[in-house]
Amino acid sequence: MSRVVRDEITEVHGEESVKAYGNSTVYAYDESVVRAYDESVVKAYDNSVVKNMSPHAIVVDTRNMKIVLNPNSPYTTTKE
Amino acid sequence: MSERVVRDKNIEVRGDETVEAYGNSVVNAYDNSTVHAHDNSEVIAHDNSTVDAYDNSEVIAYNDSEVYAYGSSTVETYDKSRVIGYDKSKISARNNSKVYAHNDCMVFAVNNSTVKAYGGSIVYAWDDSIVYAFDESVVKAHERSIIGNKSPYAIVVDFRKMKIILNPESPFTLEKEG
Repeated sequence: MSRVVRDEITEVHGEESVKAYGNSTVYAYDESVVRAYDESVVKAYDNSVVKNMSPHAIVVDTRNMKIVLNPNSPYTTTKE
Repeated sequence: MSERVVRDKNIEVRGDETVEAYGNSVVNAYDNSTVHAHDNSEVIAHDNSTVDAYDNSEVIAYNDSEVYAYGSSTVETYDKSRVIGYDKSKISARNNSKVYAHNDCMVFAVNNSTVKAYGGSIVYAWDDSIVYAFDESVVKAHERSIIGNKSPYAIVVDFRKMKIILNPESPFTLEKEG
């Protein structure tokens, strides 16, 4: 059973599973599993597994220095 | 200058008085007074009052008040008030407020507010707000907000142009799942 957060700032540790909705901010550690919906932002650390479920959600993979987007995301990057 | 300690009380504090509020107290602070709020206490600060908020306290600050937020406290600011937030505090800044967000704070900035975001803080910006992203912060910019990416590890998401704006020195690359 996943914990559901909406418009919250939260940490996930251990093997916990979380679904993040609205404008939530999630810091994922250890072996946790997070699904990012709506406009949520998830930062992935350690061995966490984060899935980007929404075109407007942002997943930051801090291990590989990657910004992971949904396949339907409209975003492009620019450096300025 | 006098000092009071209250617990589970609903009080007003004025002038140069300082109050230590514990245990779900509710404090209305006026006229340069100082409140140290603990244990889920609630403070409504007016007129240049200063609040130190600890342990999930809630603060609403008006009229040039200043709030130091720790321990996942929640702060709403209006009218040129200032917030220095730490430790996953949640801050809503309105009407020309200023926010310094450290250590993974979550900030909602509207109505000409200015935010400097440090650590891993996340900022959602609307309505002519100005946000500077330092360290590993993430900023989501809506409407007429103005954003500056000041760090290689910060990320700015511009909703108007559907762009992710990175610092010129950023090591991040973009990947689409699938």
